[in-house]
Amino acid sequence: MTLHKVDKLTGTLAVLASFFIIAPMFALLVKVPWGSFLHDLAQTQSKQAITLALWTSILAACICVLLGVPLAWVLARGNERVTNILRPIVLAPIVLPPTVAGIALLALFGRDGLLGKYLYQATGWSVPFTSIAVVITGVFVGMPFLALIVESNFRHIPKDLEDAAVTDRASRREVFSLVALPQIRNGIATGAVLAWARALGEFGATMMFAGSLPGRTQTWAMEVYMQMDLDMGTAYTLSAVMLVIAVAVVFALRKPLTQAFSS
Amino acid sequence: MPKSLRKILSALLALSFLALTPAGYASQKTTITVFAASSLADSFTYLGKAFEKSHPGTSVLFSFLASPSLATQINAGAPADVFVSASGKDIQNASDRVPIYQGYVFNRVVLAVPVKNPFKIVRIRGLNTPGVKWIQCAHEVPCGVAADAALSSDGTVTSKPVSLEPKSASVIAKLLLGEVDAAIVYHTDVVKNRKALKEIVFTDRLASSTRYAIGVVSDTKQKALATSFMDYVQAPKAILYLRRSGFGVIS
Repeated sequence: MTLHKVDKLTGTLAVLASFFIIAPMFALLVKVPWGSFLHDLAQTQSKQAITLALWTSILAACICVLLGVPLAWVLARGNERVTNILRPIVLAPIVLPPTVAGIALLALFGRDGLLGKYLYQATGWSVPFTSIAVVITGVFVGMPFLALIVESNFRHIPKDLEDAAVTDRASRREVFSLVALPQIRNGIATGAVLAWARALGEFGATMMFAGSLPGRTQTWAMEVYMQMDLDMGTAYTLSAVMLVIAVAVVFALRKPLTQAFSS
Repeated sequence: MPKSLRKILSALLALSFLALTPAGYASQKTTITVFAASSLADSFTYLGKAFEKSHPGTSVLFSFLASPSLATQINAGAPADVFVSASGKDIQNASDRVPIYQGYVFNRVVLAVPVKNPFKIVRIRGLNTPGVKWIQCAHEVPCGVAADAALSSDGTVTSKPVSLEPKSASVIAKLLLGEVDAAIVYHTDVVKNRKALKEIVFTDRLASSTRYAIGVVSDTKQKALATSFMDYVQAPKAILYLRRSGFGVIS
């Protein structure tokens, strides 16, 4: 599409829309105290929070791929009567407030939770306040993104390909793992990166479910919140790096994302 | 637009109209906004209602958060009329907009355990019992500052908390939820939950104490009402109520 196809009013509104999105991010970058940038990042608190956020979110993304790809396959090829109900439920966390996610996770995994109760009685161990709780939160908020993208990719695979495989006596699992999976490697990568980014940024649910302890459960996003009351400069610095990551992720994924959402 | 989405949207629209009915509609009342430490949530909600009753036509809005967060918000221009922080340091950090303030009630941190007390903790050093999960406030917030001072003065605790919570209200919530076996909370939180919690006090009363501070935001548009709210919560009747809630007062 070229620019002369856009009328003036629509163009102005579009500029306004971009302003609302771009200006705050720009302002954030302006406010970063670049002089102490590296020093702020090298603080023990910052380093601990970044390290923890990175490994927990990467682990969460891996779990999302391991379980979410099969889920996406079921959503794409399963019995429609089931998938039509299952799909909106598993995608719900995308629009769920983080606080609701936090309460829900406590209700299941907490010491008095539906599952957590038995786990605690049997082992004396409970999930909240552990790094595992951070990972579980990441899986909960990230999985829907992976399922959404990967299902869309599965749907784009030409049916004849699967039909041909079936005529060649491929088993159901072979159709999935040998025919469908290799076709959507890019889609899986896209979904994984989105799930990872979502897990990396989760804040409210994590704080409610996992608590906040430096090195164990205090993540990058939480550290930004804590630093706001301590040292605004460090808060800006930590936020700026996250912003750059976010923009880089979307930039790297611009093609597969447009593909996944078109059709 | 899919039909189902249209249905949901019209339901939401109907719901938002309900908010305009008299119950949800804020009438011509004069409103003051009070930023208060999260440990004051219960007692100030009560005092706020009493104030509204004795000052017809006024309404008091509260924002309860950790004191440093409230100070940050006030410095950033938040529309507060009165600030009550859980320590002098936090109100000092907002001194650009709250230049004049007074010392207010005291509170002290204690070690709280559930009445069931599965680990049979009866002394502060019971926190060292293997397997005990305990939490306290973050080092930056007043309840955390008091907890740190109390613990270091006590000197017997070698174990570490499993979480440093952002405000005192989150600590007490997680203890009541049963997610931890013990927590360092305000005495007032235990008073409020007498049936569920037992407390173990620190011998060093001074180290474990914090003093609240109260002041009117200098650029408030409701100076008269804000000042009379400040007087109201410092009057003998309010102080008596606060003392019953477990706060300390200078007599």
